[in-house]
Amino acid sequence: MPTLKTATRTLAAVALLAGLTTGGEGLWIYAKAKLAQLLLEISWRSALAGEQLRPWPWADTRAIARLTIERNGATIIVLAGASGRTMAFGPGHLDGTAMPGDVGNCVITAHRDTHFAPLRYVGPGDILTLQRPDGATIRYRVQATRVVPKTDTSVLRQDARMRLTLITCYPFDAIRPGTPLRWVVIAQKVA
Amino acid sequence: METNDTANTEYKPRDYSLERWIVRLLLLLFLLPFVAQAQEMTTLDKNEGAGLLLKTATPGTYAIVPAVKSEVRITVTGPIVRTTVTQTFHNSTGRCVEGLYVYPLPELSAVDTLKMTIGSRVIVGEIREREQARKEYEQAKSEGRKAALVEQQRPNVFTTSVSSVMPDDDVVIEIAYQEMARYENDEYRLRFPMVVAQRYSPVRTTAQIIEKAVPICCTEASHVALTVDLQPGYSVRNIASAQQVKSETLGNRHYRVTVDSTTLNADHDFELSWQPDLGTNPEATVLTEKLGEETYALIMVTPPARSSVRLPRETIFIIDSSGSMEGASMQQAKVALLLALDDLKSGDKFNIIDFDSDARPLFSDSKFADASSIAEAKSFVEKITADGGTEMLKALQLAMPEHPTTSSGTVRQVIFMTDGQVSNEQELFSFIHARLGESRLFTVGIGAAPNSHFMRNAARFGRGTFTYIGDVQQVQERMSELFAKLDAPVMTSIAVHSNDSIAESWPERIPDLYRGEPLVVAMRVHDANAKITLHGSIGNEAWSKELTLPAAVDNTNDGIARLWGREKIESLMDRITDGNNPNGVEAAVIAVALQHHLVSQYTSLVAIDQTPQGINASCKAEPLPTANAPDHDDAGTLPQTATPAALLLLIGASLTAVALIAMRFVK
Repeated sequence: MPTLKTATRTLAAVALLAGLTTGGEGLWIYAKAKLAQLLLEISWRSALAGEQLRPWPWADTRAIARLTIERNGATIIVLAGASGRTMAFGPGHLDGTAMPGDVGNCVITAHRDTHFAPLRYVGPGDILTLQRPDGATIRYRVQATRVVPKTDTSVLRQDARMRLTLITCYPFDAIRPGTPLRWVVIAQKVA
Repeated sequence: METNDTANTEYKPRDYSLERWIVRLLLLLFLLPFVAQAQEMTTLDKNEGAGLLLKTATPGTYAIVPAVKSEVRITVTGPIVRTTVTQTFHNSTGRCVEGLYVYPLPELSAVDTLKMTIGSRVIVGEIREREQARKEYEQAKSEGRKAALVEQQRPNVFTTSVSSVMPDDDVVIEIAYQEMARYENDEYRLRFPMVVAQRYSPVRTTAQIIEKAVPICCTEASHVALTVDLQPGYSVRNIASAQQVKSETLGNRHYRVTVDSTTLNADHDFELSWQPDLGTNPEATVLTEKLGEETYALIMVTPPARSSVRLPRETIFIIDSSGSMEGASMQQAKVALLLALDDLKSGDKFNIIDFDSDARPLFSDSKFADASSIAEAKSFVEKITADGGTEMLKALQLAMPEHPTTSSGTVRQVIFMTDGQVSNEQELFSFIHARLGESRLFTVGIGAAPNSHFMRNAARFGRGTFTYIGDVQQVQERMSELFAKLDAPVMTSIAVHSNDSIAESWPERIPDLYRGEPLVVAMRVHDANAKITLHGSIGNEAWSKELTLPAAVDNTNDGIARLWGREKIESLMDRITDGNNPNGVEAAVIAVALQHHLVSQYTSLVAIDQTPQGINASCKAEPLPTANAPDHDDAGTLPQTATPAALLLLIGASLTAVALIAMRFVK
């Protein structure tokens, strides 16, 4: 049955191609997240030196802070704006919320499977630091971690306290994106 | 042999190791989504759930852990139904947690056996006085030992505390309890509840318990199996259930019924019924069990299949139109009531009381059933809508006035159709007990999970019976059976005597024997050869029967002593309703409960850690993060914060694997 064999072979080739493409697309997401951070780190150093260089020529965002999670020493460059496009490269600072070190609530969001994966292990008492482009470093202590429905926008609320709120998707192990829950880390500036 | 060996070496089997490896990888990839299933959280305003509930940072809020596997084994011996439930949970939270195991139970049942394994530890339940049990639990917890406590917060909801569950521990909880199969309309019936219904609590009483309709098992990934092992002591015909079941005969008077996990409907309680052959006269039978020095006897009086006496009746229908009845339940109740109106005979008097937050009678006093009064009644029923509270007392006050105007020789029957979702049960029982007089109260349970504890006991205080209607399709059948029964009390003034002077039997006041409802009396005698005599009247004729106790065989009628203990505790508890000193009752109940290994109002099952020394698996529980109640002031949602990378990889790897296998095969 050569025709059947040929058909199977063709189908298998198509499936292989599709599989490699799809898998490659998945890998590319991880690669992009890692690579972008390397380029952003270079850009960040230039910012600290006085003049911020574009991390890559066509970048449409800029680095606004460097976040450090003291528990595991992870450092991540935070970008302006929390769009899906931005978050592919790094955590995004939600427009309209306080800037790092300012009075109010500074909200940063990132993907749970890339940049904010370490948040799973963050708990009350942990120290988070934000470095601004001017070199100043602000220390925050985690007050609470919560799981909220994605409709709960109260965690974005601004008030007179100096807070840092990190948001990522929950549960961490879900395979599919688009879960209705969010993991929220609430930290208060250390006086 | 040698040639064979040669042949074997010459034959080169195809090397499938790559395929096997790929298949394994594929399986793993496809299983991943189930392994990493999301933790379902309950917010404060929807404090619901049955099964394993984990404590969260906000007191009173729990995360639901769905059962991975649930196994229900029911054994029926005579009318005694013994149920063993085994549920398996997995702690996938990544934390050390503690929480509650909540389980809805049938009325009149008591958990007497508990076995729990948490990870590598084994914990077994023993009966303790409740206060003492709590102290032991708190001590075990403070020392970091795993402990569990079973408590009877309400008669048909059981709660077990589960502490120190380590990350990735499997929690297997096995409980066993027993109850009586209900006998009604020539058939025995058992019910396995699948939901805990939300209950209405009038403002002045407080009841704190998790009560909301949630399936006990059966989430996507969970597996449920239910089997009934039926040894009723007689030949059975017509084993039936509203669920899809498979029934088979195992041997002489021994049957087995199994429910397929795939077809089990968790939205409705599992019901099973079976029919014995009935004679033309009342029959009495006795079964025994020996426990220590005492012999426990189970005496059953079954009514004949038919009866010919009929007395004029006055029937008061009470219909519950409170908010909890909304939907199918209200529809069922209305259909039942309309059927009842059609069944009224001329010469019978009737009235209808509709109640929610208030009670409204159809007529100021009962009227004779004729075309015009029945037409008026029907239009009254049609207009009933379900909303408001459940102030049952107001309705009962109307139905059972202090001085009823019923003429002598008339049977006064109150038929009460409700889902029984009230919390002031004791108050209602007291009222029924005090005001009953010559009336008889019959309760009709409506809906997916009526509060049958309330309805059975209301009927018991009312010297009537309880009918359960689980489905709108059953209304006509069950109601006509009830009316047929109401038409004729078969035997009245029933009493049990024994020549054993210290014999003790429960219930103390034996109700009338109706068509389709047998009497069950549990008796304890010291003398194993004691004679038992039953007396009663059928119409104006005296009836009596002498019973000889059969020799008790070991390990057969297990459960009769427990039943006696349970009945005794119920009767003791009734004394509080009658105004007795609760302290005296408490001591008596504790004594019975300890002797018969029963959980009661004053005794708990305390879990004793029986893990061998050397296995130290304790941890300090931390509450799970709480889900905040959504803030409705702000619109919008939080950003989408997950990439499809994992999903894409999964799909990509699967496709690649399939392609590689296909290519390998067409080589």
